[in-house]
Amino acid sequence: MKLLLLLALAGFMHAALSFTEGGQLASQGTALAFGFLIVSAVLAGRVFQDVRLPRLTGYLVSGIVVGPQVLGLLSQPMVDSLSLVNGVAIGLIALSAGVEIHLPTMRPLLRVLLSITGLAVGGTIVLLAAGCLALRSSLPFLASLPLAQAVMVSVVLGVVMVAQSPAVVVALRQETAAEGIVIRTVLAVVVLADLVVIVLFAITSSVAKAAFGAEGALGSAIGMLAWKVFGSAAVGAVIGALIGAFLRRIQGGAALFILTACVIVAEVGARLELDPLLTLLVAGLLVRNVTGQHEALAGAIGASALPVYALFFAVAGARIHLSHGIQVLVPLVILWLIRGVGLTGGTWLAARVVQGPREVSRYAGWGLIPQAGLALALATLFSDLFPEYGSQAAAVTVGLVALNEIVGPVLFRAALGRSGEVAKLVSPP
Amino acid sequence: MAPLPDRTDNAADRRLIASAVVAVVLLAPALGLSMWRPPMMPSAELQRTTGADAEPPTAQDGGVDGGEGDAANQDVADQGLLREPLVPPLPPVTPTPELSPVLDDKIPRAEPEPLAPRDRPGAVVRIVLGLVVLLALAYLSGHHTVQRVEERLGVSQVITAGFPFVLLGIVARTPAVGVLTDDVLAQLNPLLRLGLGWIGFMVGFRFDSRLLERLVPRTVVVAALLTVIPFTVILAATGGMLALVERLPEQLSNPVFMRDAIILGTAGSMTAYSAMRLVSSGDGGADRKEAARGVLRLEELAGIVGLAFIAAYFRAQAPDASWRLPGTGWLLLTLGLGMAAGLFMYLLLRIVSGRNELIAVVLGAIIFTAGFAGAVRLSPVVVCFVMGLLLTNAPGLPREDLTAILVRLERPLYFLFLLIVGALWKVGEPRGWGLMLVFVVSRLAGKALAVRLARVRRQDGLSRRERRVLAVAPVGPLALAIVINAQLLYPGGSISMIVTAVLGGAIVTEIIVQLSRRWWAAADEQPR
Repeated sequence: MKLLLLLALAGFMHAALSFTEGGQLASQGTALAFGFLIVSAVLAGRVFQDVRLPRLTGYLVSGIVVGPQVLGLLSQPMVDSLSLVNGVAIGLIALSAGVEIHLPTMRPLLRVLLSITGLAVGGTIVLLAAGCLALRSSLPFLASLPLAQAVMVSVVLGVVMVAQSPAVVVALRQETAAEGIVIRTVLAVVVLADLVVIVLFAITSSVAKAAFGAEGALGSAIGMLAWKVFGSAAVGAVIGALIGAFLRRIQGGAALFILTACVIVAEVGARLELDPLLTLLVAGLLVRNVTGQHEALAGAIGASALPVYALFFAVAGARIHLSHGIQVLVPLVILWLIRGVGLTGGTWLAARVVQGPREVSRYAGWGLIPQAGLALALATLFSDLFPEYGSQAAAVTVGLVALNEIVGPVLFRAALGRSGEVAKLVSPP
Repeated sequence: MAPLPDRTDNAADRRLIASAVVAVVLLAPALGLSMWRPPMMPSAELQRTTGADAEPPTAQDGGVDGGEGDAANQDVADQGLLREPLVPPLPPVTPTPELSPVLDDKIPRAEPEPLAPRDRPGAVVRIVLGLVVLLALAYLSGHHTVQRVEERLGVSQVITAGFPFVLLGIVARTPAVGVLTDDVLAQLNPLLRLGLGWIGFMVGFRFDSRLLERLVPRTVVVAALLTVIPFTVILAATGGMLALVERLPEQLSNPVFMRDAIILGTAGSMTAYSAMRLVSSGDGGADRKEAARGVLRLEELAGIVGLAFIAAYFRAQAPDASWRLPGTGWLLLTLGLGMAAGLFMYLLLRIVSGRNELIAVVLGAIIFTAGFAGAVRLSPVVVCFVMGLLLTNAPGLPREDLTAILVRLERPLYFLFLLIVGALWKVGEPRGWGLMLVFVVSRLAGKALAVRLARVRRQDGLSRRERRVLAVAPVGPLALAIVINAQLLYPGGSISMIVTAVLGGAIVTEIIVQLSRRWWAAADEQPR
């Protein structure tokens, strides 16, 4: 029945596109794409759930299949027109992630968190950079560079490729209703690692630019980095305080207020070069740990959770360019293996070093594998910073993200199942 | 898929039959009109009368019936294979700048330009101040002192009806605030279409066929009077005003003029369902309340029929369209699309599990259907109405869960809709405000006349209070949806005046309703 409904939906979409000659719709196409992606993602998610795969992967795959790369039911302009919706979705996901982090509960895990971030994430950056260097002959854009410059670019690529996805972790937690030390550790690590990756990217990319002879690159990059991290955190703190005040003082309307805040951060924040993920993550953290209004916040945004996730991941799927990865398949697979082994092995080692819980050492590493928005954003930034070979490098980074976007949730879902933290739920919450 | 429940009381059958009756009601005007042949206007004359934004119909866009025609169709028409169009195709329009973001795909959707570092502190302060103002407004609106002042000024219902969001939209669009920029509005346009679809869906979903079963003839008569008379009075009054403003006294058969007057008449004959709270529930109140509810539902049905008719028969020329149908074909397509979407949503709702999935599916299906209707230039309100009508009368759905979700999401979505409507509103249109005055006065006069006629020999079954409520009635969301939908279908020329008339009229009428209610209460308290 679900497959039949998916077919019927595709038929509806095809009929709508046939109205205009050339199949190009004007702005009405945005609404059509919006609704089409939500319904097709929910249906695909149910199909994937039936075969014991994460619904999240279903959302992604539905986006890939209906998107411009495969069936073409959504054109590239249609997908692009959903960027604000996507920005708002990132904001809501970041708020949810922030609310999930209860600092007093996390305090006993601090050593484990720092150890995993340092050893697993830091170590994997080194491994990926080394891997890129070793694969120089298969990566034409590196082969043409002198060794010193190739090393610098490899380090930047290592930082880009290690990025994780808090959005996937939050969505999988919602989907599986998982609760326990593994999911809490993974969530805290991916949030912390995101911060580390943003900072490291700014530092390494500016050092690399300086190595290429760009004047003033280092100084301006440090200024930009300080603004991005501290500015986002400061604005996030103010927004968190306002959301907390709203939830405490005013009955009703909280969902609209939060949505407005997310729209403003997504739109105006981009012009201010703030990081929307960091901004609303801090806001969520503040609401949870200072104002104590986390239940009210969860209630206000809870109803929108599923449509937001479905849309966000389906749009992410529709943006995946499969052809990019195919061009560099062999180095891509090798780098994917390096990243996977680095993160899982690094987590195991890091947890053992600080004598962390056994479940964390065995299963938490799998939660670091999924990738999504941040990695793609960094890949785009990389292309902008190094335009002479950025697009070739983006083929590798975007291909890696695509692979991890599809396979990562499946692996993490299985790991969560084995850890025993998945609630005994067959149907969605 | 879960098995259908065994229903031995044939209630489901009755509901489906009632739905079919409603469908026939929707079709009846089309069948009647298909037999009527209005005088055709020569294209040159049509061109001259339709304003500056009209362009001469060419071989490519001078179409058949529905408006989306080409030279080949003209040849077929010349050979007598196709009948002359019922309503001449409307000329293509250039969208007004206010509407461009939600109509054009020509706005560049590039990454927003980053602000220079020196401008950042100011921008951050504006964001924070904006959110603080929102917070303060929300706090103040719930404060008892403010509520007392609102009551005293007679604007509390204006606030409750969400009109401050219209104001917020106007403010947020101003360049000084710069939040609802063209690019943001372009990307928020699914919410506008969702709002339209949602209003239509809710009207359909509340149109339970049991209501039809309980209707007594006198309720139908009252509803017919309350719809037809205000429609006629508004049509005549605003038509006269439009003819004067547009200098079109000699062009009464001009399709643009006819369309505008019909839109105003249809929107004006609607009554907000919130009027029900003014109806007493004292002695015999339940029956009277039921009668008043029936009247309002039938009014809504008439509004939907009117909008379906406008969208199907008054179609603007669209050279890029590959679907070419006569007006009745578009009407049938409206019904068919609504029913197909309703069936699709019914099957979806049968397989979903859990509240969150239900919300996702309901939102997704309504946006998709509204987007589809918009893509083929039909009315999302009407298509989603048919969808809602089908669902509310279909067996085996989790009705209580569905109703709870719909009610919970209704107000936030409506407020977002009003916010975007405010941002798109061309407020500085003096002719629109003049038309608004005529609209409000003629609407009140039409409603009062209809109530008086219905009262003849006291056959209406309503008390004095209910008659007052129906005579001085607020303009509801459906009226706003009708006019905004019309604005999306015909985004240029005189339509911005119509929007000002109905939107401004809705706000002014809310204030009049409040004031008259207080005046009546004072009058009733005085010793006779």
